[in-house]
Amino acid sequence: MPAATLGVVIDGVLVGGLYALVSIGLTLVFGVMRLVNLAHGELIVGGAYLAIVSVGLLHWNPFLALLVVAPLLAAIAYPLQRWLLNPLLPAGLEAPLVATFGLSLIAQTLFLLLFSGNPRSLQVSYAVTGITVFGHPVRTVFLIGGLGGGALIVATYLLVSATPFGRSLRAAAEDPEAAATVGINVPHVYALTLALSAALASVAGVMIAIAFSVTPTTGLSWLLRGFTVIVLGGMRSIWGTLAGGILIGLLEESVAAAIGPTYQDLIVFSALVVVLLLRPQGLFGGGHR
Amino acid sequence: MRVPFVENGYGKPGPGRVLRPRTLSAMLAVLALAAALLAAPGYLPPYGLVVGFALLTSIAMAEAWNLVGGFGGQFSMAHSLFVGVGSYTTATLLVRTDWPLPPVVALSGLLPATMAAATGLVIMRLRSVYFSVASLGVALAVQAWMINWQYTGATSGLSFPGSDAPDESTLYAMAVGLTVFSTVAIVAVVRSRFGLMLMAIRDDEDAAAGVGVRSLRIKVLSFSLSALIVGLVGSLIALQQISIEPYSAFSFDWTINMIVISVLGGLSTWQGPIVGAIFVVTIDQLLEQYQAFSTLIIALCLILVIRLLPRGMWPGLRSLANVIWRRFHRMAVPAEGSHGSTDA
Repeated sequence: MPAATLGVVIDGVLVGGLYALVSIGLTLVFGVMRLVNLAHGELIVGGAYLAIVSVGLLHWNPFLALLVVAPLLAAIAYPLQRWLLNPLLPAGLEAPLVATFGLSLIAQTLFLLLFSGNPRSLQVSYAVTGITVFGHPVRTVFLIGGLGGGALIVATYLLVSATPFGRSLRAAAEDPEAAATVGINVPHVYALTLALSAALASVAGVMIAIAFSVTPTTGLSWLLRGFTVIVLGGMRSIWGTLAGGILIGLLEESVAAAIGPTYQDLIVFSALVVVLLLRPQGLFGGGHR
Repeated sequence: MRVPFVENGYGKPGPGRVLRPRTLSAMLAVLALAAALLAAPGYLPPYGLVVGFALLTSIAMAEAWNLVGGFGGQFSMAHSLFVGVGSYTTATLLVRTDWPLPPVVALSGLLPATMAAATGLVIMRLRSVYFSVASLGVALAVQAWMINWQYTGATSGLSFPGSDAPDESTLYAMAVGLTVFSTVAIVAVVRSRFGLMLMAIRDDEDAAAGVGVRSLRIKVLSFSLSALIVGLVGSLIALQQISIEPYSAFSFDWTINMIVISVLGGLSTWQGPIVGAIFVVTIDQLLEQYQAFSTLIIALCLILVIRLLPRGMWPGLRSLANVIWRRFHRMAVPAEGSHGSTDA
């Protein structure tokens, strides 16, 4: 493999791991509750801002700060699902969709009031340093993002497939009424699912704040990237999310290498539409619609 | 295959049908309102015209979104695209040609309508959230394209001489005309056979298809009509702003506004977008110095409405009025229901 191609593959896979982490919360929330969370981007950006604040206060390493930030964001998400979104779920698609839309607006405005519209990022040494992987230089933070993202996807899979919580989550996803009759507290499981999704989003937010930067409105483009990834991955599949993330990472990096980074967004968003049309069940989905 | 016609009073006017008094008085009311609005430049200060313009364009856009998102049940997140294309068509034609204004404005509606038809034929095969997500993808893809397209000035956008644009009161009059036209057109459309088919698709697409409704065609036509109106609004907005750039012309905020106004006021009612727009523009004006707080309050109201008045403010107000009227009526006629009437 020529060095340039190898470089694209390494970059693509690493960015893809981060993209999968960005998207996994959407997969969980859609998979369990059939809810499209339009505020998912704001969970990511909110995680980033919370990390910026706590790093400023505590002077900790950002990843250490996640020990505070992730539970905090999860604690914000839990009541929102339990007492705002849960009661709307039986009303069909529109009501919960609009509610998450409203939440995303509220979050964006709060970010603007608290942090102004200027881009903010987390300043750490490894944001700028590089490291050599198979003879190809990559930014250290992308290596952390890619590997960390991949590891968290594996952890999520284990959590869902091999723990008692995972069992009740799968039961609630499969058939909420039957799950309730065997004693599973479905509203609680739903709320925990959004909380888990928020905690994972906060990790993605920290990585994004280190590698790029955040503004109050960056959530939208991450939301759409997340959609692209989970649509590719079949909407409800954890492994599909990882594969979708890596595919989008590879696509973006090859486009950037071939014609420059200008049209990256255009290509990714077009890919979303094309995939939706050709295979609405996703490349890896088993035909769920 | 012919669609079986459902007789429910909203049907097409038969040959012998005369105007009902209610229709007639509604038409007179609309004409009176239009006249009052058109006369506004005479009695409003210039700033009032700007607010009036904002209110009218918000109503027109929300009515248009509501046709697709409310009556049609297709939760579109593509509508910012049509504002942008309408604005850019106007600006591009004014910069690059010396066409007179009417064909420029007309084309600024027709181009988005054509684009909506073309993309609708593709993405409206998808259902529910899949359509929503695809429509958002289309809108953001086109914005990403416009940010890079040299022909339209890429990120810096386009400006045309102010002398090409009509003055404030003409623009305002155009907004009145467009808003009245759109509202009347949408009322006519949803009360027609077409509207029945559109709502049948919203309620159950498979069942509608089962009785012969060609759902794709109906959905695409409604999308295209909606885009026509929104594109015309985009044209007026470009004429008002004189200088446009892709970040604001194609901003997702347009879509947000249309959805928020429609949902607040009441989806699937033509009065809803009017009520919603008045509410939103009033809050915006009251908190003009504190834009962020105004967005915050509006978003909180959105969540409250979804939770407490799921059908929106207009249906909420109406049932409230009904309750009050009934209570009043009962007090006035005590004989009725004195021993616990059974009819609720």
